[in-house]
Amino acid sequence: MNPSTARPDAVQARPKPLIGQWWAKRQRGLAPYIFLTPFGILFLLFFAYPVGYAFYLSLFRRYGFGGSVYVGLQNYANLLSDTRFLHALANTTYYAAGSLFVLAPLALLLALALNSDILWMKGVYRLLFFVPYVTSAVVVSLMFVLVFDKTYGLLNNALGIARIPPVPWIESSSWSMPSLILLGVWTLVGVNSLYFLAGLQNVPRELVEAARIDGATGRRVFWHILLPHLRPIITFVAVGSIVGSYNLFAQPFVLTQGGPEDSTLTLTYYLFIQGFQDFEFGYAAAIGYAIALIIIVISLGQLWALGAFREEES
Amino acid sequence: MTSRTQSYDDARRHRRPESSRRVRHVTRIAVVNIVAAIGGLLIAFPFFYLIVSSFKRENQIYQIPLSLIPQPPTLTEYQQLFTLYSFPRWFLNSAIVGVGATASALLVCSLAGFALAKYDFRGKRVIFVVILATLTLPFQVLLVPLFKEMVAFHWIDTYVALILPFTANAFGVFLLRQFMLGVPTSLLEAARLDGASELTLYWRIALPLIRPGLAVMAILFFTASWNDFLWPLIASTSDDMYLLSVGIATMSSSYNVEYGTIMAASVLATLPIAIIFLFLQRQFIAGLTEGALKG
Repeated sequence: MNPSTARPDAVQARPKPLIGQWWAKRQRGLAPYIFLTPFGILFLLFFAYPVGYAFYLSLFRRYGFGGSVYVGLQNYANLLSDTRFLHALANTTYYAAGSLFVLAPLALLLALALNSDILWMKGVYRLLFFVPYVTSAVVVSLMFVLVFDKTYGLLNNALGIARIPPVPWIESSSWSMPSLILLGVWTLVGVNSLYFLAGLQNVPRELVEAARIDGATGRRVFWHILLPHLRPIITFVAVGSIVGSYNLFAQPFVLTQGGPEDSTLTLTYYLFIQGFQDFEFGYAAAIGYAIALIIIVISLGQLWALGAFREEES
Repeated sequence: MTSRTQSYDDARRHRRPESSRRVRHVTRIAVVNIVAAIGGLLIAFPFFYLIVSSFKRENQIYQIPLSLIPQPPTLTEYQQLFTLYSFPRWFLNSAIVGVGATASALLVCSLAGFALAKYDFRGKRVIFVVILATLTLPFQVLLVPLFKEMVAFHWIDTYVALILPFTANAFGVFLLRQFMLGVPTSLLEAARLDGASELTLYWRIALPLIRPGLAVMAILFFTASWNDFLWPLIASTSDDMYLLSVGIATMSSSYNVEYGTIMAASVLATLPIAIIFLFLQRQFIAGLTEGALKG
């Protein structure tokens, strides 16, 4: 196969039998479909069919072990009056808002620090900031048992040095969600700061320098030049944070078991309980669709609010 | 906009004496480095404490004041992983599933990406749009029906159930198609003229050309599989088919919880990813940020 020697008459120079030529052309036409087949089969089996099957399941109550009853859309109606579901919804939204509004500014702050030329050991930070993100959520949660323990935990002992009384963290129903938020921020601030850093480094230098020459202070440069350029990254971080928040499961499952008193019960955790502890498959399927709807609506709302659907004004 | 000369005069008026500028400059350096250092310490410290605690005797973890140095350091917690728990089996399971899922996902998605990137055929647009659309559907919808499917196929507690659903993922197709677009079509055309079959084009030309991209994807897939929790929790009910994440979680929910052993398990479970990360940093980071910037 030598591209430089392939000439148009090379085909004639090596005559193929007629069948061979026909097959070569046919092969080329069929190839994409054949190549797509493995993906297609798996996709149908494990995505398309389950999506439909889930909706079918959600129309029944107690489907599976012993009898099922067709209830139409009753499962969805019940969701609206299910106090536990609504509690989970409130919890998860609390978590989503809390982590986004703490995470984004912190990550941006770190990114600004990483971006300046006066920072030492940049490579070390870049490495370090990724580690919490690539560590399993289960491991992170168990690690933080050592952090949150009321008597022997790192946090309370550190607070004790500053003469601050211990906080019940995951043992209190009012501190439990903030603890999870703290855990979430710890996990994600590094990665997100690196995303912001990538965005900051894409801001054309001449723009910043021109502004500085014109006498702009750091603050004005930040608000009027850096932030607008960061909008796509901010959008990505925001949507990702929200979607990740509504998917929260491992941390409350391992750390607090949804408690105390359901204070850390998240939507996905509730789905798990209904589907795989109480085996109410129909209801769980409905919860699945409800969660999907919530996530999609919120994400679309976010995208709209951040101007993703507006025409680009130059 | 003020004119150039006018703004220079303004700047000169606002210029401060030389020494004060030097002090402000040093302060800036100090502040920036301190902020970053605090961030770095806060992130690193829990890991450090985890590793230290895994070498402590059980009662040493629960003692005041907290000690950073185990006295004496002990391997009992690690030993218990092998005597009291099926930790080696869990590790093996995670390795098999991780490698299996990564290999099959790479194969299936690169085939699909190749087809979508390098061919024109009826329905290409539609298929691509459908695949992209699935990216927007949250996985919560699939949890229950997939489980019921696995039960129906008798695939619960098998490696198949842990590997297969992960294989056809839209994200993989999207990224691999991007990589495939970079393969020069002229090269493929030339090979065709020389009588190469379409399969050879894929296997002998395109795939080797995107090898760096494949490495990045491999790392992403393997890490995702290694750290996955919810689906493995659902798909395996017997202890000897647990993955590491599930096994360690069950350790923490048993009655007499031995935290030292859990710490040891956590350290060992994170080691493979940490090693991969250490040696393949660039690809790892490239993979994670590429997903972000193309999103």
